[in-house]
Amino acid sequence: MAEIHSADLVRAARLVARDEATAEELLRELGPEMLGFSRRMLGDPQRAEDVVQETFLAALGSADGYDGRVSLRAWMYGILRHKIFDSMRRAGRERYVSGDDPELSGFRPDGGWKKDVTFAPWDENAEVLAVVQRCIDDLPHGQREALLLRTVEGLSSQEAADLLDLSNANLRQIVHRARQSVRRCADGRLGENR
Amino acid sequence: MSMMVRCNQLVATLSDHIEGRLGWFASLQIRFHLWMCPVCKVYFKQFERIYRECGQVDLAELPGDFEKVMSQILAKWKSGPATEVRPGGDPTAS
Repeated sequence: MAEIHSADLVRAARLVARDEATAEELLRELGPEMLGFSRRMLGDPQRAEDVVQETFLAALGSADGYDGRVSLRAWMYGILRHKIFDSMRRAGRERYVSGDDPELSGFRPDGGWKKDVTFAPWDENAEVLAVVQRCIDDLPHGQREALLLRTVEGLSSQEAADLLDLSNANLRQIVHRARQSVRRCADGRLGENR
Repeated sequence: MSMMVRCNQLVATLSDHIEGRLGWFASLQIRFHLWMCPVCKVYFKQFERIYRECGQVDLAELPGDFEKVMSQILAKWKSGPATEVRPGGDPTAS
C-alpha cells in the first residue's frame, strides 16, 4: 500500500484554511530551489519568477486537491513542470523527447573506441563546477530536467521517475546520458584552455 | 560470458558502476577493463568527476530577489479568492 504523507496532509489542510504562516513556511522551504530549477530549465530569470509564482498560487489555491499519496514537494514539482512546459510552449520552445547516446559516434562497430579518439586528463585544480553548470544549461530539455530533478534534495528517485512518467530504469538511463553529454561538453570547454 | 567488456559497454554502465548497482562480476569486468584500457581509464576519470560535480549543483542557492518574489506570491494569494472546494482538482491546468 502506498505511503500516506500525513504531515503534508496536515500542512495542506492549513493552507486550505488560509494559514499564512504555513504558506510562508512552504515558500521558504521550496521557493529557492524551485526558482533555481526554473531558471535552469527556462534560462530566463523573469519567466522563471513567473512560473514559480503561478505554481505557488495554483498549489496554494488547490491544496484541497492534495491527497497525500505523494509528498507535498513532489506534488508541487508536478505543478511546476506543467507551468514550465506551458511557458516553453508559449515561447515556442519544443519539449525534447529523444536522448541518443552522445558517445555513439566515437565507437567502431565492434564496440572499441575509434583510432582517433583520445581523452586528455583534466587538471585536478581546474574549476570544473562552473563549466559543468554551463554545460547543464545547454543540455536538451529532457536530459536537463531529469538530471536537475535528481539533484533536488528530498525528492526520491521514485518520485522523480513518477513525475516524469518514467520507470526508474529509464530515468537512470536518461540521467546517465545527460552526464555523458555534460562530460563531452566540459571536455570541449576545458580543452579550449589547454 | 566474456571476461572483457567492450569500451561501449563500459561507457554505458558507468553511472551504475559508480552507484554500486552492478553485480560483483560485472563490477569486476569494469575494473579489469579500466586496468587494461588507457582510453577508458581517462574517460572514467572525467566521467567520475562529472558525476560528482553534477551532484554539487546547488538549486537552492538563494537568488538576491527571492524575498521580493515571495512577498509578491503571498500578497497575491492573500488578495485572491478563497480556495474553491474541488476535491481532486487539477492544479496543473493553466
